[in-house]
Amino acid sequence: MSVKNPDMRPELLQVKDLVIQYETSDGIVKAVNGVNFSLREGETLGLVGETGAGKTTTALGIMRLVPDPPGRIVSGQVFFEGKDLLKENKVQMRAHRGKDISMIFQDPMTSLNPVLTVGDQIAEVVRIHEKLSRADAIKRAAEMLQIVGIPAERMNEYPHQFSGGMKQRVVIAIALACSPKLIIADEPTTALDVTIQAQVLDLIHNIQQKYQTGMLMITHDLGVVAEICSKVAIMYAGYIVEYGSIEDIFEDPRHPYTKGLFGALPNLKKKVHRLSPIDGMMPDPANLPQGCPFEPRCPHRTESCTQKVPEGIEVTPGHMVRCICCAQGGGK
Amino acid sequence: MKKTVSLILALVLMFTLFAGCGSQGQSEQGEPAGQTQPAGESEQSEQKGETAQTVTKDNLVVAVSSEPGSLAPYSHNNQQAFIPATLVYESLIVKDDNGEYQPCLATEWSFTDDVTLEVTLREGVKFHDGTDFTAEDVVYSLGLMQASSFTSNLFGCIDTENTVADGDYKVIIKLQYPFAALLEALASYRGVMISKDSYESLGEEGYGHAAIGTGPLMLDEWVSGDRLEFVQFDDYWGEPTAFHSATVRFITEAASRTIELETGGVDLAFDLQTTDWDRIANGSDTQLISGDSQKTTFLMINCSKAPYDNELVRKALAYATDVDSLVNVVYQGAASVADCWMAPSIIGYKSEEQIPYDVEKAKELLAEAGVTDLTVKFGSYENATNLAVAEVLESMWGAAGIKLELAVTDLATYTADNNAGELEVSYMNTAATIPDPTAALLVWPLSRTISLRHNDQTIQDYLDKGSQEYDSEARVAIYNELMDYFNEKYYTIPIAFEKGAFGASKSITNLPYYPSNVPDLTRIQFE
Amino acid sequence: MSKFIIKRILVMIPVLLGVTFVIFTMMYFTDGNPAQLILGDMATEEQIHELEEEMGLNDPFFTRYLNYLSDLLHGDLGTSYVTGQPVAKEIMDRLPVTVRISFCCMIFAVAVGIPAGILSAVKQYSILDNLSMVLALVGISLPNFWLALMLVLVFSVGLGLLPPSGLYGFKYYILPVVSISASAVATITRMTRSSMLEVIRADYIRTARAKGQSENVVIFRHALLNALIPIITVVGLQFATTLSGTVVNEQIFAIPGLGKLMVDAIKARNYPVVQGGVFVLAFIFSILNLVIDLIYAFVDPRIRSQYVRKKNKRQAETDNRKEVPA
Repeated sequence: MSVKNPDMRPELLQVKDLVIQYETSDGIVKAVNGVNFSLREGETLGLVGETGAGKTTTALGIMRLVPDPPGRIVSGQVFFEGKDLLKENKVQMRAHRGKDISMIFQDPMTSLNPVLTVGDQIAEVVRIHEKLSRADAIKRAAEMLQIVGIPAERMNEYPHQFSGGMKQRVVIAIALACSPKLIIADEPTTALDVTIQAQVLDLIHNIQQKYQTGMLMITHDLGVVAEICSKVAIMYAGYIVEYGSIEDIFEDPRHPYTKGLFGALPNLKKKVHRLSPIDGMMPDPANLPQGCPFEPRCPHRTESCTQKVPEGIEVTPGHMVRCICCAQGGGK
Repeated sequence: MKKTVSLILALVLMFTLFAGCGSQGQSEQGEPAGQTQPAGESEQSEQKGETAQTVTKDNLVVAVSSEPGSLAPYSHNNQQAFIPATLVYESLIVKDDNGEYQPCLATEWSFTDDVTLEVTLREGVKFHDGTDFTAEDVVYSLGLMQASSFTSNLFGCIDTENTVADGDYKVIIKLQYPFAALLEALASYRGVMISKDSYESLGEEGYGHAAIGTGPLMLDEWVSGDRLEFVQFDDYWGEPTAFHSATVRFITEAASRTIELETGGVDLAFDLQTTDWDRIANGSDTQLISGDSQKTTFLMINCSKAPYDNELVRKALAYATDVDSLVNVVYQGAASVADCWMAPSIIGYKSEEQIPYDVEKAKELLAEAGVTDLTVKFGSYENATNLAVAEVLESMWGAAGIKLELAVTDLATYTADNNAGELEVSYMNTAATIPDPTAALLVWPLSRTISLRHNDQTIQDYLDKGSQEYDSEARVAIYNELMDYFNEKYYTIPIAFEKGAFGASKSITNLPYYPSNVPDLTRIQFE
Repeated sequence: MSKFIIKRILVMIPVLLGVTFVIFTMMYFTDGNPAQLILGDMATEEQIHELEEEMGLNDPFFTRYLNYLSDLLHGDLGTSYVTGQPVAKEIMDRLPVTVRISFCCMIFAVAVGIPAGILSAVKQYSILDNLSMVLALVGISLPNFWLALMLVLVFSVGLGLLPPSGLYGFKYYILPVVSISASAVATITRMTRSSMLEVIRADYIRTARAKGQSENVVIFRHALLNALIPIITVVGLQFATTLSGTVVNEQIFAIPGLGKLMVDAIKARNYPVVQGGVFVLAFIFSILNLVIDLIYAFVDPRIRSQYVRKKNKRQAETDNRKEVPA
């Protein structure tokens, strides 16, 4: 999977006990509740969960792009190359964004500025971080377009002149322009056609391999995770309920939610009348239960589950589960 | 970026285009002469040596309420246009403060018979266009006056065919019929002399914007919509004015005129709103010059429209109107109660017995006339005083069981309706241009089409007799009789004698109140 | 693009024609006789009829209209009934003043309104935001003439700092411009604020920040450029309003502008001036709309491509063929 011994690569990102909340007129929305994970150079971590689990907020938290107001990073640490990003000032943080850490957003249709040419938008990120002349920046923009598979002549066109897939490629070009060490991809293919999805995903994967960038891949699609991730974190109601290597998660899922996710997947081999979804809905983040957030929907719930939020338990080395009764193993 | 720059340049270009358009002739080269100092001060330069009292000023600034359409003297009725005209035009004779006629452009004049006036002209007088003032100009001017619809009531009597020049400096004025008001008319601001040469070459409209006369100042510039500029005429035959130049500004908003007077922006302000009079009278830098005007206001009743053709109904309206209260409420001291159809300053005025305010009598008269549920349609244009009168009348007449229906239109529509004889009752005024009954009684001739339509030949007879009677005693007797007659017939109900006023800065002297509201600006002095 | 401009100019012709027809008809059917008003109360019926004949007021409607149109096509707007001067001259004497004041008002309104709106949007819910919103409300609600008179009372009568009327120099412009543009400033502020608020929440703003761009550039380059379309619309409308709506202020400040000329002409039933004035204003508005549409095209490339449709079609075709990754 990688060139060097995976465990010898330096730690790139370490998120410790990150808590992010939104203050609204209806109360406090607990979007991210003490999230922990880490990433090495060249590694891809998949952050999986349903809509509303807090994945995007986590990503924004790392970039410190959480809209404030109403959002607020309450506590925690985000170590990037050893430095706590949450303690950096505005100028330092801006130096990181676009250069060391880049983000690819979900909806390509609205992620590009409609009144600037794509060439300008790519050149912009270059000129922010590197002292290049306009001409050189444009040259770099042309290169980046080539890398993502767009003919460089289209540099002076505007976003509305591109299709959805092409737009996402432009977004990727922007994200890569300064050779970042970490890419955060927030559901980069969700808004695209299925046929284009595969292409774009391949592109991202190839680039990541080639340049050995670390990647945080946010997705709700386990298939995508299976293809490109080496580590997985399952997120539910702002908590990471299971975390481990891809083998850990796919071959030995422990948390009832994780098992439920796999159980809900359609299987080419089995013949079933109905898919088996997980009953119930994710709790309202403004009104989280006192105990385990999954408890109302959990087939294995007990009385003690409602007492307090379960601590993360390391069931096997590198495999963390946040469940009291996760002692059992189990397959898919 | 390139595009934004070119966009900005394009906008700037458009802007300068328009800015450039307007700069010639417009007011940006600087302020009008004399207006260099901020509020409060007016420039004065004492002329030491001659007399301690001869104080001259650089520029007299006057505010009027509307822009003249034309300054040609016989082409309009706009009082505000006649005020600046006093600076440039002169008449044959003038009336002094004691009421005596004094020479101006004429040195001698005498009636050789009822229909002939011989006039000897002053020699050495020049027009602003450089030509000499001669008898030719007088004959030509009289001809225009006779023909113009605006001055025909004053000069229609002139027999233009037989009015001739006798040499360069003598004119024999012939009349078609005796006209007692002739001298009064010739001494007024409507009887001024114009230059034949210029009138023929410029035409009426051209002359209206050139304003060529014999007066001490001449028209220098007319900035459309803004002001008139006058400068001293070096070849003037008489004494120069105490000011070297004048600016007449058109300020249509009454409040603005008052404010400009108070802040020293103008030296004279005309057509003030009556509510400002006290302020100006008591102001530290301002004075109010006021007096009784020649204006009578009255309720005009359409005597040929039923039921107003019945004298009893008209009488009822008179009894139902409490004139004293009406005048008090509407004018608040700016007018006195009219006790005659003509104002006291006019020959033939006689204090008549007032019709008492008697609601019961009014009801009686209406019953007698067989009229029940009378609804009066009161026609008016948008004028604050008229509307105030209508309001008061509504409640007064209501007490007598008479309803009032107010119909307000704009002035043009009102004028059209008035002249078509469609109005029933309305509030009118007659501002006599000269203090003579022929001008004061302008609404009465049978030929008038306004919604009065009395169709009474007796009145016409009185008017004809009075206008042709030269003997002043006899004349007064005739008009007295007419006033009595009016009092009996109730064709109209006289309401008020309006006072008039204009505001001036405290430094202005030698300017008394003119009942015509058109004072002679050339006599202004400063202290 | 030039095709678009030419097309728009051609469309102006029926519009202007329609305007002349409407205004001509309106004046025709309004009560009031200009001949009578010119000649005054003393005039006899014959004199009035004579003048009516001379002025052609007794001709049938279409004869009069067609005569007017043919004169118009020769550039002759007629002569004023009141002054006898050519209408074109009268209007051109007054028009630059009105246009100049409108321009000053718009520059003032834009210079104050847009920054205020941006500030309010960026610092939403702060004291500054609330203050500027209250001021905007006041600016829109205050009657124009009341504001004018109050300004005069305070600054001319009370403080003696500024002249109360006339237009003789720079300081004469201050009070009229402030008074006329009060509601324009308010509207532009509110529009800028709401447009910016909408734009600031957009995803591409987040992308710009994610690039590490400084907040100033994000606001002024990314956000403002996108927020401009509705703002430009409002600015254009306000310009039209100040151009035609300054009548009251022209009265109060004794400004020799077009508004006052038109109102006086209507009162005096001075048909040629009314028709000429409306025609000129309609012409100006048409040009103004065209300019605004062109400005849109400058600012927003999506609109630009609507004007250049063919080019777009070709591009979309090549796009479909090139959906192959590198």
